[in-house]
Amino acid sequence: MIEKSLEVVNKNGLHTRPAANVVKLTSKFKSDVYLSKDGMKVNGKSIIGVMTLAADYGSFIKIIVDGPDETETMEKIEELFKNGFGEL
Amino acid sequence: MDDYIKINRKKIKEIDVENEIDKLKISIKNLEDDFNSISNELDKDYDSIAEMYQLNVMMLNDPEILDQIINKISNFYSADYSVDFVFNKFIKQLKNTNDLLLKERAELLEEIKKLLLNNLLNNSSINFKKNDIIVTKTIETNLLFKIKEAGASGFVCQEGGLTSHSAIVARAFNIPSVINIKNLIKYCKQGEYAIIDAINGKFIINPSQDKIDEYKLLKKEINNKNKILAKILTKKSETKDNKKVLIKSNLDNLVELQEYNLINSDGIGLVRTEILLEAKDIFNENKQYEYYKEIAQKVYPNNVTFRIFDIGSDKYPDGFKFKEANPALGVRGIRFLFKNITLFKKQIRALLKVSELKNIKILIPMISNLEDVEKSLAIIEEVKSELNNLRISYDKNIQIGFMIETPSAALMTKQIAKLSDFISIGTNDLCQYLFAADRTNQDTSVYLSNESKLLFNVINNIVKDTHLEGKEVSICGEIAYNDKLTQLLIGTDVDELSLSFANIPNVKNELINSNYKECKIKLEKYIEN
Repeated sequence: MIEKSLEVVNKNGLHTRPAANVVKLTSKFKSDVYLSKDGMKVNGKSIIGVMTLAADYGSFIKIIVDGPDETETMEKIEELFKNGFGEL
Repeated sequence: MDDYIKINRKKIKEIDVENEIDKLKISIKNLEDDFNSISNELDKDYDSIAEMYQLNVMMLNDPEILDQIINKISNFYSADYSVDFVFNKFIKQLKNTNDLLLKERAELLEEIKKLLLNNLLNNSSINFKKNDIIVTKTIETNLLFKIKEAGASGFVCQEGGLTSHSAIVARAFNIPSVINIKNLIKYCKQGEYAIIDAINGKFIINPSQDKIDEYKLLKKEINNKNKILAKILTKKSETKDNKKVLIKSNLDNLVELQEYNLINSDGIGLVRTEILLEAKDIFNENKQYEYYKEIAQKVYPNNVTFRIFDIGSDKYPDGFKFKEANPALGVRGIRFLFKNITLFKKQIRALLKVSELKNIKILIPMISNLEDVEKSLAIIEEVKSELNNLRISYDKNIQIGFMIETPSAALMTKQIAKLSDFISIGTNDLCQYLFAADRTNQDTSVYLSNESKLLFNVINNIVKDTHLEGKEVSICGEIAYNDKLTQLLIGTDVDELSLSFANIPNVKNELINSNYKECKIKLEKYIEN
């Protein structure tokens, strides 16, 4: 299991379109993915879950990945966060 | 297709659980195929709607929802009951947030639930044939695709339940329809002939041969007209003698933004921003920023003019209602904003951030004197300083315009224009105040006419005075929508007209077929008498 805290760098935060990009990514991998913020934990493969996280610009989300391809999964997620979920 | 879905709360037997889960998975797959079909079929002008359908597919496949439904079924509940139960849970969750966007997603989820249940409970799929007219209580968007694919003629609904998305997809697919027909289903019999007149909102059952011939002719004329109109939209916005008058669109919400590409107007002349006040988190600047940015990006490189919150008189979003003796003469427009500086500044800040794109303008409503102008500009300067200190970039040359909609403003246009970057004439309110007649009162509406010579006289003077100060002027009231008055408006020398999408083709048609010099003479004669 790998845990990492990542920052939301795009100005609009984790609104619908980025949320969809996150879920598109996480759904490709076998490992379980969870996103946690302010005590709220959601399934990273659930679009509704990720949307309701409503993480704003500058907030930090704890990513928890657990499974056979967890290293690659976390790498790709980190990349996505750095790119502002494909919006920057 | 009944809108009323009866859910069975009956429990199922253990041996049926696997069967129920299979039924569920099949229905989900069917619905997913439908959504994908619609998404693929919508051409690139509707990419926002296509994206929405892709989102629907994602929601349909959300593992949390699926797991919980399967769990419920495994506890011996029927598939339909489980779907209803679990979806309702998530819908409630989304509705309970303060986020406007999440609330909209709740509505999408509601529609998906209904479609899924329909699919589960009506095991036979519905087949449409060419030239069929579909008669239904309400319409859902996945049916629109089936209608288009089958070559059906159109549909009519008993209820007025067309969500904005359904209306746009129906238009995108060019499906004629009439909605909100009382007792429709009682009047219709399977196999009967009927005419759908979507233009006039009529549905004629068992038409006479004369009626049929009449409509056949009308259909031909309209097709010809549409071909001509399509050509018009690609032409430059100028008269035959090359006088340029920009024809722009008015915009009330993001759903309408889809129409923008189709109409090919010269930009958006008026974005009414009051819709944002209906969200509980209006003080969230990011949400405002997101909203304005989406519009500015879509319209780029053309310009967008955002009118800041214009509250009061007959417009009171939830939570902003207050009692006044004379609302029309009360704390409205800029007056309201002066009393709610935080709100004012937040909106300006969000707009300035979007101005990075350099294609937006800000419009201030309801100016009554020079102090209103000076104070607004001072507040905007304060916000600019704040952004400078935070090193946030914005368009330093962003244009700030003011609305002339009170008689006092009309009479001091020159002084106001001196301090403004542009002027916009709000003819609706201007007319109301000129004739001291309430727009919303049936008994006084006789005093209000867009054709009033006095109104044209006043408009003519406002344009003249604005031009004397070297600034441009636009008209964004109902008068701009009336294509019978376009030539007179051209005669006033106005620089731009902004109106609802629906009539832009006709107004533009008037423009490109007119001669500016003749329009000027026409106008002068008109106001002389």
